[in-house]
Amino acid sequence: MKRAAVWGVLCVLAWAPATAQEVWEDELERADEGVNTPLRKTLPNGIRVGIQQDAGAAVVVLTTRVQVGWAMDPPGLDQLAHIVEHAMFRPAEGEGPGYSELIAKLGGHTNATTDADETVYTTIVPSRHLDTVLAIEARRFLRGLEQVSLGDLATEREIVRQEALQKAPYNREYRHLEAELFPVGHPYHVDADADLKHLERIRDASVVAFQREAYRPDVISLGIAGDLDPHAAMKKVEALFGPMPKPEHPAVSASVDRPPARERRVLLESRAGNSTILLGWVVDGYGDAGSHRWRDIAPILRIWLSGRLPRERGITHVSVRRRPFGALSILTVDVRGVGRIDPDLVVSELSWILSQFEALGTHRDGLDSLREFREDATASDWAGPVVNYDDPVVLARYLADEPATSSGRAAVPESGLVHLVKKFLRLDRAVLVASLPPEVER
Amino acid sequence: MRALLAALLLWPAVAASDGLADEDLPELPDVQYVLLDGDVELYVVERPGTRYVAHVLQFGTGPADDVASRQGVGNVALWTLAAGAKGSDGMERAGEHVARYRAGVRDGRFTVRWVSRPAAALSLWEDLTAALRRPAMPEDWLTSIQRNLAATYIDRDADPADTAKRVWRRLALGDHPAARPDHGTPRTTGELTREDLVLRIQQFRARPMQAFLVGDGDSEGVEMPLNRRFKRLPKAFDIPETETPPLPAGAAIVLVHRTGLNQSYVVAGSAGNVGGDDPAALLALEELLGAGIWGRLDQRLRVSGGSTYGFSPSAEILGDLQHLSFGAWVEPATTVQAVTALKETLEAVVGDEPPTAAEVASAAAGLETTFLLQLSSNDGCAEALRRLGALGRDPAAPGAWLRELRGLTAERVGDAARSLIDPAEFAIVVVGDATVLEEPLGTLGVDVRVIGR
Repeated sequence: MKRAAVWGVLCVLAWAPATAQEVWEDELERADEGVNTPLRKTLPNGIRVGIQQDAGAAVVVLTTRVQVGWAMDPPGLDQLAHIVEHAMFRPAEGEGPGYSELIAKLGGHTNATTDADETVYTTIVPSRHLDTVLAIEARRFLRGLEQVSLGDLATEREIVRQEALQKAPYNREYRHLEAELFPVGHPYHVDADADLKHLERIRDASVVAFQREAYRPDVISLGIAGDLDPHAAMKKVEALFGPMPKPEHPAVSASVDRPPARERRVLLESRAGNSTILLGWVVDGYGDAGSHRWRDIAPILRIWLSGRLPRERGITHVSVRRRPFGALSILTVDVRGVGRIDPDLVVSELSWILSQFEALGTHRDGLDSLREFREDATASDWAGPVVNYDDPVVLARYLADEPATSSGRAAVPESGLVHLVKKFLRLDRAVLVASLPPEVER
Repeated sequence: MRALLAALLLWPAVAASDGLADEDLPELPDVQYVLLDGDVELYVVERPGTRYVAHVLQFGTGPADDVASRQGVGNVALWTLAAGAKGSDGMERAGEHVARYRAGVRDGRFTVRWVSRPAAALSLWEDLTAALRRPAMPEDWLTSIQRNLAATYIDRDADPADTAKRVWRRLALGDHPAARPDHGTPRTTGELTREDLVLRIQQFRARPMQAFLVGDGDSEGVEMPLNRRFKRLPKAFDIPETETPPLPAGAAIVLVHRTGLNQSYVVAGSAGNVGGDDPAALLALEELLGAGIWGRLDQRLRVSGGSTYGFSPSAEILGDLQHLSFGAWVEPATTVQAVTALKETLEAVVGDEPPTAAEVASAAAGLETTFLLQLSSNDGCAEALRRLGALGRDPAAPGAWLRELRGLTAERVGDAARSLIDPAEFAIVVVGDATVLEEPLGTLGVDVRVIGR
């Protein structure tokens, strides 16, 4: 009964006013308290390790992050990093079962993804198998692909081609948007209509050599989270991954420049009766010092736009997303609707709505109302750091990243937000991709 | 030689991991159970010090209870609860203390989930029970939902995988209510009225609801306030019980004609009744056949066979009815080869290559790891306990579920396979270019029905 009363009091207190910005900052601070106390170490060969105990979990999660992604594919050899990712699951000849089979026998699960700048391998096993999974992981990274059978590599090469083709029916508009935002010659450029026939020309020797040269210890980091003893786990990691030879020369970190903004239009035919209109810009990446400037923009614009675009013109859905894209990120306004929606109408409406937003920055009352609007729009972000790091898979992924810094956390004033929108989100420098059903003859 | 030595050193560690004694059960959440007024089952896991509370409300009804001419009304009613609680924009404003509100269908039942700050753990319960009592809808609510649904239907029809799965359900489940699309059709939802929604919401309480809270709080603290809220609900309208029609007999192939695709989408499988009450066996069967790279299908078709199509499994347990199907993207030239390979692999499971003890142990261990991973976070724990409830298991006894998984035998999984997989009843749906696919599919020995040409 006493506890019930306390709960009731807390419920009342919960609604005490606090600005959303304070809530967000407080949440980040508290989240950092929880996740910024891992055991971290860089091994002599350059492998970075982050380990944290999560006593509530009966499992351990091992994330191995390799800072090698498809942006490093040599010219003419697109998908090479992706093929390497697949091949890493294959056993060497005479080695017995492959990685996936071994993990399955431990009652675990494993998977991997290849992104623009990184390849991430994730394995989950019951906590009692931590030592074994570390040993298996170390073995495949130490031996590389030299002894993996050529037949296996050929199969994985074809599977990669199929996987890429399978994505074709989905996100067609986004693939074209990305292809235009990152023009030919940029490391992040991907041909939206690639048939990937060139994969047949990728030789096994190229796969083996790429893995050997690119998978250096100084681009590898391990994140381990779960029910474990961090110090014992670190010792094990040192013993198993320490033998990976230290490279003679430090890795050359290639910087990725933001491509210049340019107006482009791509019109596609919608196979259904729906219209999809995307407007996109390349902005700061999540790891950049300037990233914080963009943190609040997407939720604010989403609410600002969704309440103002004319629904009677058939528009059913408006979203604004900022998505990481390698070292940069893409900010997209995504407008959808039933039937054929005129892209010029959308651009003209957006132009008017954004000018109203920008006008808020010209007087004190406007900035005050923008502050209130911003608080509402960003308030729900409190759950992100709190809920995500409760999941050992997310925590292990976080541990495999560079330690977070608090630099750039300072909130951008409302006038700064208006300035960013005005300066960067210019409709005359946006890439527009529209997928429209055919015009009906009257 | 070094590789061989390494393999020999590792293998005993891996092999020795199979089979665990009951006393090796890991520490599991202490789930407190309270029966609230109105037969609402409340399950609470106290996790002091965690900074949020995860909430799940599982209704006793799902899309299969919708009246056929109003199919989809339940889904719209579910969204209406959120609108009645806060309004769609209001939910954004409530975000300071409540976040990640998700409403949908899980295991055939309507479910809502969200997270809250510990000190605001009861706020949305108040709104939801108020909406259950007297649903509030903005004036243009229904029109705006119908407009959004119209766009959703077009999107889903344009997606070959979604189309194939919906057509497959209809093909495999026939006139069973579960065969109807959860979201209804343009016709059934286009005719909905506000009265339909109010009636359906009142049916949401017709069968016991289950509420799950995991986080920094305690059952005593939430019992009384929640009881007060649920007590005020009026008596629910009954859902009329209907007789379940028999499943369609005989194998069938439907080819949905679509052009302009690089690849076709294939779904194949069958429905039935596992018999007895053994959801663990069906889940293990799904896991050992198709879940992950180590599933039998991937091993047989991709790793050993060198094929490039990977089938993903989909099993659903809807009370007495269960179905198990496999879907894959396949190039037109290899579609028949893929279907044949899938059929042969499934026939072998119910024929001369039944599940082995090692496969079942591995599958059960995989299910256990997934379950333990879920239990480790508040959000995942609430969802894992909800699923136990949906499977007819006691959410207050997660250890019993682990024992059930560990007690799985090859015989039980083999029985489940024989109950569900019948090559003579195989339903196959392909979405692709009929001009290319009709003739080769005809070689499978079953009449091919082409639609959408």
